[in-house]
Amino acid sequence: MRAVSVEDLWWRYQASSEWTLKGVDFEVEKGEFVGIVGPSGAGKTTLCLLVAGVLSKSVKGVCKGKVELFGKDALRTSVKQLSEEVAIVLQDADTQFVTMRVLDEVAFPLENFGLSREEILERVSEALEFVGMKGYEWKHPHELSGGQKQRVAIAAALAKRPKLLILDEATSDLDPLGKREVLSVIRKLREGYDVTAVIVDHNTDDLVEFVDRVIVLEGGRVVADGDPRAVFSRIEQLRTIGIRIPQPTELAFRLGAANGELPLTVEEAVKALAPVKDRLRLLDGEVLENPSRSEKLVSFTDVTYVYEDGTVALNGLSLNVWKGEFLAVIGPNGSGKTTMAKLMVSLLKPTSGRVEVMGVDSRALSPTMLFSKVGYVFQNPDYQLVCDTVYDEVAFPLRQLGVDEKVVKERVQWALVSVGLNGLEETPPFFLSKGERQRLALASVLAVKPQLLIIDEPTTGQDERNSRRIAELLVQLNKSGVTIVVITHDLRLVSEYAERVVVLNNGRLVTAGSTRKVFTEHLETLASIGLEPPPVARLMKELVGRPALTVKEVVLCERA
Amino acid sequence: MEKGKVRTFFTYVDERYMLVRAHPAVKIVSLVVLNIIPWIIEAPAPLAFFLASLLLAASLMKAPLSKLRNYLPYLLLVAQAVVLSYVLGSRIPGNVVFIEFPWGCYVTDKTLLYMGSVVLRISSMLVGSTLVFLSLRDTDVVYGLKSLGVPFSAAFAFNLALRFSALFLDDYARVRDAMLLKGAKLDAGNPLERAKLLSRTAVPLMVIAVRRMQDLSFALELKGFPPSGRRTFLYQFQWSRFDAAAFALLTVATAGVVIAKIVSPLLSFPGWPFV
Repeated sequence: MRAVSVEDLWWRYQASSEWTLKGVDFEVEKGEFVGIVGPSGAGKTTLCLLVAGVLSKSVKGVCKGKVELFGKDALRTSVKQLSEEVAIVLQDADTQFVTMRVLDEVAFPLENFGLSREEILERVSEALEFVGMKGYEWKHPHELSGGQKQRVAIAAALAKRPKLLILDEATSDLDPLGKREVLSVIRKLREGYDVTAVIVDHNTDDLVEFVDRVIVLEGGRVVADGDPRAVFSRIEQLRTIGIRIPQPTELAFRLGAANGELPLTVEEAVKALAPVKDRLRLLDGEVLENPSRSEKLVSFTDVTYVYEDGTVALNGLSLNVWKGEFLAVIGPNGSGKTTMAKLMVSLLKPTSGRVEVMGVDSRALSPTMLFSKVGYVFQNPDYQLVCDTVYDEVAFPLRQLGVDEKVVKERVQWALVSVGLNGLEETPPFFLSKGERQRLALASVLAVKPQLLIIDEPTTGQDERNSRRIAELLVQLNKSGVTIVVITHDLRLVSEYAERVVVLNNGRLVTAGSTRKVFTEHLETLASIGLEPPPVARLMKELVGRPALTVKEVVLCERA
Repeated sequence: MEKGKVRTFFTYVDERYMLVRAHPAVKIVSLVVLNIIPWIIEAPAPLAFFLASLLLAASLMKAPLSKLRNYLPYLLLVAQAVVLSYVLGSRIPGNVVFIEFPWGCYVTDKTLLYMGSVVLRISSMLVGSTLVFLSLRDTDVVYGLKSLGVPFSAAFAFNLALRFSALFLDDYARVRDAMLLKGAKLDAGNPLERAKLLSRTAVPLMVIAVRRMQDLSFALELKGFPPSGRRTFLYQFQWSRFDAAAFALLTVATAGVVIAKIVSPLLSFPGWPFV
């Protein structure tokens, strides 16, 4: 039986002259798990909302074509009727939490549908049990982690007993542990729940584990649709579009070592590469921390930070940030990464201990004193964009410094060229795409030429092309002498670009050292706090006993 | 959400405080009544009596009065503003003139008395509201308003506003931090310049709020909101004897104050309205 049928679907938002979807065609069979991938702006969310039947009734736009959901015309049937059959879990866990208790949240749609109290309680209990949130009924959203909130969102969706579940980047904003929690629920759904699922995700390494089929969207069109193995075999095409290739697939393709089908997962790759196992080598000359780094930019000495509500965010942290390094700070949510960054820019002062920024005690500093030396880019660029045009946005910090307008113009041009936004000077910032807004936020920080740049989750929610673009920009900046501190959950980014890694957990320093050392010698420690190195590290550990950091450093030697 | 930075309107004090166990409608009515009565009373002595009675009643109901300490700075701030505005900008006739300013305003014995009344009125409203807010649970707003006849959709929208205003405050704090990190001197310098800089926070806040509202509307629609047919309510609140007594007391108190204001000068400020 057909669950979803989309025929020649076109959609244009009223405010836009461009079509977001341009003749999309696909079908989903009942019980199928379908993944949708594509670069930012490809129309993935628009497609999901149209399939759910909600967009065409809530947002002004032009719609052509046909969407059928279990035989019903989704474009014309009321949302009320469709909402009993389809459920959607969005990216932002907080926005979806419309009540203030887990129990109320899961019960809310059931109350709206007028089910009996007994049935509501039974379904709530069953759904919470399924997602592993039993016992959390009376918790408030602020008492839950991101992963737990998304599991509650899935429970609220499942309690309706929908025929179709849509997960639109439901794991994008989560830390590795949260991601794993949600993924394990999806795995369970696949194994034992009578539901059809459409899953949108940038992280193809995770996606291939759950889906029967992958649809690739680009510029509002379906450019590939089929079995994941067949789709991900089109590596060159996907790379051009800007889609992340699962690392095991990429590695096998690069080595030309898989006979026939390319592997999708680590397990498959272990089998596929087993015949050439003895010829695999790692180009991993031990990269140590650069010994020439002796000038401290920031130092933490036995720093503790306690929030007003008594939460201990940092507990006796001691570490240095060296001039010129590319440092990654990793750790699960709540490990103290952002608090550490805020202490470095003097937004917070230590409760005890000492933070020195460029030799000065941070207690004697303020953010406005430091902003020309230490730049901070937020995870969500929208918090940072306060002006009417791109030009003014980049000029804003320079004008605060009282810089001459001629110099302002030069610096703005330089910063915009650096991030690839030149030519958009007069555009209002909020008309830019998310990737562009992120680069604009970075440009406005770069314009003052800081010595130290702190960037929070630069790749979260970004597609592969934007992630690479930002990472490569950071490398360039680092080469030009800017010290980079990246706070991230993206261990693929860390392993490819960072020189040194600091691992935090529960406000304490777990380990610090060169990226290779941390990812080679501390795999178990990382795993114990929910941090999983990229698939290629696990794959090479399995095959040759030593983890690799990137796909590029694995080579196949000629037979002796 | 960021560690240690959680904002919520609900304090979740324990059930020893009797008002916590009350019917949601009683809590909502209390909130309204405790804000109306101080507006009716004008004279300082009855206002002081009302405030004292309020504190006594709260203490008898085992309210966690120590929590009021958290709100003291706000009260002092408001009191300061009241004192300054009456001292510098009023012309209340009185028997003794203490100070006369070149711009024509003056301070008399009546100014001081009236100032005291205003401070007592605001204190009563703040203390009364806080004592009710301390007892509120998240379901109370929806169920309380609904049992008073407000349509469910409107009651839920009000509750949603409370939930999202907490997120809005977080957003504001982040935008403000971002401004500081761009060199905006929000805490020092010319107040006009500061106000101008601060007004820029409206742009991102508005954009973020609009995006959030759009996602929220999608989420709500797919959760079957607003309900088109009969809706089930998970919680069932029964009226207790305490609720009936509290309701009666609130009604009698409001009626008594209104009647006393009409028939006797006891609650009015002597000489009001000033001419």
